[in-house]
Amino acid sequence: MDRELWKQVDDLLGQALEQPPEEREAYVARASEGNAVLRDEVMSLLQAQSHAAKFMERSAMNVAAKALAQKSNFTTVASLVGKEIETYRIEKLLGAGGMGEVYLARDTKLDRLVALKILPWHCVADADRLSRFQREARALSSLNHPNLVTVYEVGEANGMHFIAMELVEGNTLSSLRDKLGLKELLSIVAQVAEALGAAHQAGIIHRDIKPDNVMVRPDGYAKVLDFGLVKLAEVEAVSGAPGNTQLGVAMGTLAYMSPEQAAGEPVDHRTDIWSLGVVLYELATGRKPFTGETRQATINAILSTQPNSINTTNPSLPPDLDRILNKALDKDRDLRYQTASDFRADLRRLLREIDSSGSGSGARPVNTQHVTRGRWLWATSVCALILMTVVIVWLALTQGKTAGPDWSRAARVQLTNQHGTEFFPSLAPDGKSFIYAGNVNGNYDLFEQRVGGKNATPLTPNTPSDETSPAFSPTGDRIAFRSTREPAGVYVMEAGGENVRLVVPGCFHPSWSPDGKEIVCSTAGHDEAPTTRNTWTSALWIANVETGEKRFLCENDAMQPSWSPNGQRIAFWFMQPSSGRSDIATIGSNGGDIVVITSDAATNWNPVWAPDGKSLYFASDRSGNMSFWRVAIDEATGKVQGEAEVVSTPATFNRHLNFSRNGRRMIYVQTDRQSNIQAVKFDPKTEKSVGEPFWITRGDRLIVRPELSPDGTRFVMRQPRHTQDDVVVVNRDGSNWRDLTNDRFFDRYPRWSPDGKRIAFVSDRSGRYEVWVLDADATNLRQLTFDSPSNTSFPVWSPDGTQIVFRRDLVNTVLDVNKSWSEQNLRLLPLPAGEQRFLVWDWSPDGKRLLGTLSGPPQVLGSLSLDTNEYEKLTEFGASPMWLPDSTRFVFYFRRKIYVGDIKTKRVREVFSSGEQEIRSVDVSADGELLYYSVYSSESDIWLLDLE
Amino acid sequence: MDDAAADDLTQLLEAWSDGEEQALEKLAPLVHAELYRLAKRYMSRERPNHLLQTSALINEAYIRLIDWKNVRWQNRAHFFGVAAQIMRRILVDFARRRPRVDREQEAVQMSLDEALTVSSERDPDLLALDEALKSLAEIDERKSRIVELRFFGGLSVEETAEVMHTSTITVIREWNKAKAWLYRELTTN
Repeated sequence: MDRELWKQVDDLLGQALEQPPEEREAYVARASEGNAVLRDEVMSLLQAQSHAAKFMERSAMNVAAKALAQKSNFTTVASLVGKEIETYRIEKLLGAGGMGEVYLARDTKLDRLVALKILPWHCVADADRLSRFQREARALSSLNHPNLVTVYEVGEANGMHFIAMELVEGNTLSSLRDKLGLKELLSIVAQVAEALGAAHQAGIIHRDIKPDNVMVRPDGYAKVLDFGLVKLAEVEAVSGAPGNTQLGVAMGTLAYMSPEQAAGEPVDHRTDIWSLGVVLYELATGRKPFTGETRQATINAILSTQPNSINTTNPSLPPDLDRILNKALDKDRDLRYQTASDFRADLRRLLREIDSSGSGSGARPVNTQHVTRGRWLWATSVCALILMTVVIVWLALTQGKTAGPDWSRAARVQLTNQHGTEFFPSLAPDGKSFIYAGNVNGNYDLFEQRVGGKNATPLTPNTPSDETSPAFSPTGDRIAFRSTREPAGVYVMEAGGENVRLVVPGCFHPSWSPDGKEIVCSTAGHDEAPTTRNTWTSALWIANVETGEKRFLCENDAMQPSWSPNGQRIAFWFMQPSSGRSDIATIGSNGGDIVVITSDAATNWNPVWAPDGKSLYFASDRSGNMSFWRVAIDEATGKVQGEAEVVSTPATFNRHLNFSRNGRRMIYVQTDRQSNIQAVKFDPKTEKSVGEPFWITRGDRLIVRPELSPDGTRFVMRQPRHTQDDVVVVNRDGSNWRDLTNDRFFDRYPRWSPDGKRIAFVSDRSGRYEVWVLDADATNLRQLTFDSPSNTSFPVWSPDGTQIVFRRDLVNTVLDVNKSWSEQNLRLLPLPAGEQRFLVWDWSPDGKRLLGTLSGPPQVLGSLSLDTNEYEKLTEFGASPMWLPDSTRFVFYFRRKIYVGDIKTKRVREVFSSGEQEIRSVDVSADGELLYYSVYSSESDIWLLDLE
Repeated sequence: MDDAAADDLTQLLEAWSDGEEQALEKLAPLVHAELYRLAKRYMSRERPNHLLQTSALINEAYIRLIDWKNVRWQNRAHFFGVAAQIMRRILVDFARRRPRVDREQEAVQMSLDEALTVSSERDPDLLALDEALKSLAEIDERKSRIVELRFFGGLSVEETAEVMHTSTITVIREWNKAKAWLYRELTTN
């Protein structure tokens, strides 16, 4: 309609509406005077007007709200039970609340039970927030952390948004109030801290840690629920009108809020540390640390009141717990535990102390049996809370398709807790005792211990050699093991340690044939994860135990063999040359084709047959953590029968698993690894260390090769974080950790530019490993190399900062930092003689020489003159060589000592011994007066999963 | 709405009138929050006050900001005018994003709802209404503005008259004619 006509229509309509209703039509007919278009228009509008009395009477706001109410209502009005959403068939309502209803549902595609949470509309109205939540859920699931409830899917169907997640059998931590002993409590809180640590490292904050959001399974596992979900519902919090508290954040949650959260300030991961501190305080004492009559009073308490010491409530609680709580509940988040792993480490230390002091009880009875097993329960009382968490209890009905027992239902028992490493456990066939290797007097010996006992009996006392990798014979009366005594190899003794004799010289990792007559072993051994292994290839030999007669089985790398229970096959792991990754394969015990079981980018190792021979267990970091996996296998052919599935344990690094004969007990090693920076003053004139070494960092991080900035203010290093490696920096005094990168890529080998303004590193962020450079303030990230064939590594700056040498497909290559890739005129450096490879560690301050390692065996140190293109061997041993400022001398380390070498005299001199501590890198400050090095430590303990 | 939220709202409104689109995104959660509050009342079967919730929301923000020192609003009317525009955008966006339930369930719910509110007409579809309103604006800007102020902004007749610098009787007349036009537009298509 044009404006002209509309003007007429509008006028006439207005006039008509001035008339009494019954006269309007006649009026219009008259007034339009044969203008049919005008008349029809006005007539139809009059018609509409007579119906439109209630039309738009409600404001748009009310219309929208009412529609919202209808949508929100319909799920409860029309129950979803029996319906299908995507692939999920809904079987039962488990609970409902402000954050949606939770149903028990069956994933019909994968035939497994899941918990399906239907999100209410107010949680999905904000598309940005929803997609952020989805991203976080995916990121968390990819961590595959055993203490995080796995989210399978965040999806939408028929306009309903849902979260499909792992069904957890157990109780909420809140329902276990007053039922937990101190040790259980500390273990649960430590597990939550571990989960938080993993999530925080992935950049995800929970924001709503409270006892309702922690599920505890009957076996003592803790699982953290609803990461970031509270963020989705935040609109509720904003609207919190006074006197309308049900619209604000639920009162129950307020008590766990950090001061920064309560004050409405931006929060970071440390808010979760506070909240967990509140949880620990509350469950240890039975009282919340911060409470008030009203919401505001509670907030005031959080912001300004110091909680009572826990010992005033319960004098029997250890003073260390008070100290831990004070640190977790510091109102200044900079003074709080800075990482969840630091928090966790203190909890575990306390647990260890309680264990060794033999007490182990709080004021209340200590018994996990008090945890109700397998009861259906969900905390309907929590439904009142707006931000309620639904508690899901499900007696696992999922038997059937798995390749073995459900270890998630097993009791989890720590068998050893000595300081240091206990590893290579072998469970006696009856599952009642075990042997392991432990380091007590500076070398590894074998010990026997009863499951449930505390005392370890040494089996190989008084040997200066290392005895490791013991294996019970199938009947349990003999033990095979590796010893470094002369001659080194695989030995066999009786179960009590008698009659030790050599069976296979030079061999490692023995595994018995099921008839006990033969042993298979590998010609190379390795105790740590494969990634730290020097790859000389290993072969498998089978030896007759009585006669020592050997037969060759296979070569081209086969490690840590495991003989199948019916004798048909032998599993092992192998590494592709220079891949740094390892995979699992099997071979018939009489030879034949090798059947490869895994072939992926992960580290897969440590294969062990299940006692029934129907599946193979192995360790793999395919999901981030080094966890156990199992895959069904046909023992006769070695054919894989299905998908591998993870066998969850709470630790991030697991290895050395082993079973009792009936398969109801599984023993394994759980390892926590960390590294820190230590430094010692150095006098370059006398080449001696000055004074005592001191710690620069202390904590639970695992860091790799720190490098001090040229101005001496801060260190840059790599931090491996399960599914990603990041570049991080810390101040010279060990304060102020910060991430320069933190995303899903592997960022490695960071090196300062000589002016300290930039950092070069290697990253796979373009899809393959290339050299990248980043400004020291984490800005201006750019890619320097493109299309690297493979194996790009170790960028090293020239002293003037204009060039970088890096290794590209084993060839050391020099690029010009200031040129784009297309303009580069790459200089390829010569290869060393023979099979050797040269890995550059440092460019001399005078610019004339490169210093590095020449691959072995054995690995030695060498230099390349950039003037003459000639290599020179400098030492007979060593790692991590770095120049002193005079361009003549260099520092390096070997085993637990730091040395200085001289390129002219070739003299090597020991500077410093770290004693027991394991050095992983060494470097020197720009003035040559401070030696600093990373100290690696690991704590390995033996654990048991018990289904008996 | 508490003080902080009102402050936010006013600042955001101000920012928006300066053309900062982001402010719209930031304002939306505040409006959504109010929506949920209302929705909850509907859900609890409590008939929400027919009086203008939207207006109350905006009024409150306005009253708390009556100190003009830092406020660039020329006058109260200006404020309401901008607020109504924003409300329209937010509510229409919200309706656009809101998921659809399947028709069968909707029908069940609808009849339940009809039983509760016997006399009420079906509420207009906000998306369709928004479209119709755009068409109306092409031929009659003033009516479109009045609908925006009253329906989306939730303003009373008097407030609308104030914003439009006209008399209440004009607002009523225009409102009635606009309703007729929109009703026809929405029911004949």
